[in-house]
Amino acid sequence: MTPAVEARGLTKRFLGRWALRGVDLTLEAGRVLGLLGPNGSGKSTLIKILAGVLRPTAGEVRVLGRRPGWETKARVAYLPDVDHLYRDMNGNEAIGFMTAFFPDFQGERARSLMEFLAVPPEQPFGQMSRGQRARFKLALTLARRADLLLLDEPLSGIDVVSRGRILNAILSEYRLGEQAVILATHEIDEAEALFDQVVFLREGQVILTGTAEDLRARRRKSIEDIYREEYV
Amino acid sequence: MTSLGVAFRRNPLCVLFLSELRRGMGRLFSVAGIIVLADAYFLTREVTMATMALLVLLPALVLPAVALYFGFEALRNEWKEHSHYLLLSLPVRAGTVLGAKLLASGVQMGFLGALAGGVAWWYLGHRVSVIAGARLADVPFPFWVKVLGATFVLLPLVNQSLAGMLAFLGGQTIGRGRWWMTGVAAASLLWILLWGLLRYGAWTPVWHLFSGLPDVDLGGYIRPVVRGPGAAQTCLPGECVLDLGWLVMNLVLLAILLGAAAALWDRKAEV
Repeated sequence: MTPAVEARGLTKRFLGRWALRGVDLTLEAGRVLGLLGPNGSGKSTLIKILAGVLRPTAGEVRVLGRRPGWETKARVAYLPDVDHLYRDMNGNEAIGFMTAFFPDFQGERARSLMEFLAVPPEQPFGQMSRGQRARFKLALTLARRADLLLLDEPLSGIDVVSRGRILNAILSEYRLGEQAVILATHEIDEAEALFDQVVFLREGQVILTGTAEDLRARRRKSIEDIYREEYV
Repeated sequence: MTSLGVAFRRNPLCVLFLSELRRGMGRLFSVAGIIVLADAYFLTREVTMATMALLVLLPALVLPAVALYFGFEALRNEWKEHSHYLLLSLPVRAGTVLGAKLLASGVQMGFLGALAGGVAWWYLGHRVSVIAGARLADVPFPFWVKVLGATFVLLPLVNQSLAGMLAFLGGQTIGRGRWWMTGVAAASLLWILLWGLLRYGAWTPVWHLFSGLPDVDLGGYIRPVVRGPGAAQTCLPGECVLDLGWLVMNLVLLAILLGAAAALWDRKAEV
């Protein structure tokens, strides 16, 4: 079976700094990968390359068996860490917009997710609170039946109640055995239960990787404690 | 909603086109407001050669600059608002995104051209030509001549918009993440593109590469000008033509600029 993600020696250099240096990564379909590391470690860069919105400087990357491009974008649902929707767009308009581009987008599912996540469907995106905007973006992302889900900091800056709702939504919408998920987050204690596989990044390099279960057994610690040990 | 309406709303190009039109409303009405104010000023002045020349020439001088600005802003706003993340994550080719922006730019420039040109035309037809002893407004212009005329005016404006988009994309590609470098690169590219358009564009020797193409006979209905105390002049059938080479030249330019912008979008545009 084709891996959802396969990267070899993935490197990205911006002006004057390395964002990724020789990252190797394989993620099989139906697995959830936690992408962990402090700010500036390369998590977002890696996710952007997989989403096809950033190009690697060197190395090989395959997403669902292809180089990231406009064909893979139809099968990858990407949640960026910035507010990427138009400010005057409300829930109903966003559903119409997404339906036009993504054959796997399910409008009804988006509506029920918005209701579950307490997103006001008539309110323009630009007038929502930070938490509402995060939940709105997530509802649109999870409403896709995509083969690969890329979630970049979905919990960042969100209140505890909203974080709970978001994690519940990810858990309930995750299609076991079909969908691969990459989740970059700092909220490890809350998200840890989701991870099958974990990658720790530092300054663009993988410093530790393995299955969550194996890492816990080897280190006799939770993923959060391993994170503290590695970075603090 | 009719099935045609549903199909329209589900077509990526149409959705992006409508979205672009909606987001460009602020820019469009700001410029339209300035045109209305300028026109109002000239229309309340006494008719002189100076006011007449300014009223007629201003659209010709200002609209290309506006087209360039609209093209540049259409992309700069996406980067400024972070919505380029959304555009770049869509499963569509560059032609769809840039084509939608170009179509919207064509509609916007058509609106502004109709506003500025319409006022100038009315001014010449109802005020100036009456004074000159004839009514320019009475000259019959068939529909197809109007459409052709609009195309001749719009095509270079659309090309100017494309030049603005290309300059932005080039600036982004070179500057990447450093606003000052992006600005300098975009401004330099804009300068080069404008020089190229003026040097090798529609009113240059390159145009004559297509001079062998047949002219479009307008049947003596075009080129009405006011000459001193004389009446509005129309030319004789066969004399009054539009140069098809000029139209083809602009279409070739459109293809070159669009190809270059699409290549930059597909290969270099990043978040």
